[in-house]
Amino acid sequence: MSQSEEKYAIVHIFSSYNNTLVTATDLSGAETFAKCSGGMVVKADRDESNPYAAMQCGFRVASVLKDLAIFAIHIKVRAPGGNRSQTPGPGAQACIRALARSGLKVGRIEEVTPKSHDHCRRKGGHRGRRV
Amino acid sequence: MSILFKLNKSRVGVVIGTDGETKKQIEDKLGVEIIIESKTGDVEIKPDYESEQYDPLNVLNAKKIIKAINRGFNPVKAMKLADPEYELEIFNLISILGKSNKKLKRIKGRLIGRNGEIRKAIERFAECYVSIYGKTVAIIADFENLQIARKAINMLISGMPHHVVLKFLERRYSEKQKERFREVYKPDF
Repeated sequence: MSQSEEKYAIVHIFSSYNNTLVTATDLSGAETFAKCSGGMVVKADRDESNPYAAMQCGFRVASVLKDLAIFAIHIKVRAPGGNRSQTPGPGAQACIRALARSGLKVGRIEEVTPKSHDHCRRKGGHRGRRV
Repeated sequence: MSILFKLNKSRVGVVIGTDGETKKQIEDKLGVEIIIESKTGDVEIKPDYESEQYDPLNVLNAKKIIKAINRGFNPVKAMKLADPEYELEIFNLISILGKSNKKLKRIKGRLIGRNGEIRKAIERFAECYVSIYGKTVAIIADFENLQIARKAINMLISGMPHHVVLKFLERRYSEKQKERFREVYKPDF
């Protein structure tokens, strides 16, 4: 394939404090190429969100993409958003690094966390979150 | 792809440094371009495509560093975040405690301790940096230590006695040391 006709995929990364979800789609976002989540690579529930699991997810998705002859990606990172946490969890960075290191060309990185202009009351009750 | 956000006005000077030294250091190390509007505190971070250090991820790292400085860390400690092992976590105390100024002051006192003893203990046992500034608590640590530090701080906020928290930190620290010891002295058969 010539360089100019390089095929791009979009890798959506959803990263919360409990899990990391990675989905690779075509540019329209309608067709899924590959997907992976924290729970698919680790056994214990508490490890689903950690950077190691996210890295493994990244490598898995990258290997599927390479089989499909896609060598360039755009990345969209997302945290839960809305009335929940606005910053991506610990898995996001590790996953992006894994994707970049596995030989895929990274085009654009975008943050697409849904930001609320105003929102429902956060969960946690009258006296706030008791930790 | 650029990132826009706002800085605390009192920390703008620290981000820039004397004669723009700190800003330049971040720019050189990460291959980014930082534009600061010092009157309003607006910051824009852009990737510098011609730099040798250029990496699409570095924009996010630079954002982390500047956010850390904004939350009260000194630039030397904040530069640790250039290493992707380290992570930054910022707690907003208001979202946990509510709007009471008295409560905020009391909890901040509990977290810092007499002459900063408790904060120092957390920093030493959980191998992290802790900064308590205004309405937030910020931690710089790697993933595992971050869990320990976060739990210790949550224990203190929820009102546990200091000696219980210190014991918890000590126990976790000694567990970590044992683990390290086992890794180093593995018998090779």
